[in-house]
Amino acid sequence: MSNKRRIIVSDEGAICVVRFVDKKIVDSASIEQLGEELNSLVLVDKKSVLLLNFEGVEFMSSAALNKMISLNSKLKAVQGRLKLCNLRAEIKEVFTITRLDRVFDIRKTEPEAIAAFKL
Amino acid sequence: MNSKVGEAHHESCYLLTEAPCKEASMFVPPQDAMSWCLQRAIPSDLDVGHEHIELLMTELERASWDGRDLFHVRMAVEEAVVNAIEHGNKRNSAKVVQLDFRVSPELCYIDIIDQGEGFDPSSLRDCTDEEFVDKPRGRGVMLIKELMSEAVYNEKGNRLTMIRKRNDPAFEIREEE
Repeated sequence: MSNKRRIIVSDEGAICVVRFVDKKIVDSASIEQLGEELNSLVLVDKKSVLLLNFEGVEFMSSAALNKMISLNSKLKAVQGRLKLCNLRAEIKEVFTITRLDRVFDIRKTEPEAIAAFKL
Repeated sequence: MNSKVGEAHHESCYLLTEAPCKEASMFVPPQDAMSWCLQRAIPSDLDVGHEHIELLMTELERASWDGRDLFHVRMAVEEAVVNAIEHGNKRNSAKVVQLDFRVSPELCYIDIIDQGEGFDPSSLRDCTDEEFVDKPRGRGVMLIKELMSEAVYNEKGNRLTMIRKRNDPAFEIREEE
């Protein structure tokens, strides 16, 4: 697997679980790198079932949201699947306001999300 | 504590070329009623912008702001400062962004002016529209308007003035289900 600096990746069976290194995802260079690393999971590492676990993420800007949207498009193109979990209430609220809660499948916990993949 | 008027801490450097926002009908809190104020012209550099956002966050926390109130201000000011530097000044190092931050335990006032061409906020596409909801971009301005008590652009569109009241009842209905 290619080297990652902004994300920590682990495999739960066929599901690729992604955690974030940064508590606050705001720095523009870090966001660009995050976007590249997320995309490379799909394009280079050929992962198609991804779970983004936001545990520990305190804040993210809309520039970071855009990287999630881009990842979602990349996954759609390969008939992949994406879920999100462990969003703190304020970040979940951002998804709700921007209606991105309709674009992403957001689950409360990692076990819940993993179970939902297996349905 | 830094919240008593008598101990108010006001910072300013560089010369502000414009007075506090008058064209918006928004209440501009007088500096001596606030616990902390900062008026500064910063270069069009995102790192410098983020340093000033952190200053604001520190002072809000010092003034007892927390939770959703603090998150909402961080989100709005993050989007506003990044927009001013990237879309307004287009990261032109010859241009500055003027910041006017004012904090009290009850209120946060933020006025941001860039030296760009401005824009018409009403011309932005609706990012919640089915057609665009899964497309990147266009969410910053929407979040600013949704998360602040008031947010007003000047006519040219190069100046954003916003206020967030702490414990603003307008935001209670969006508490997580």
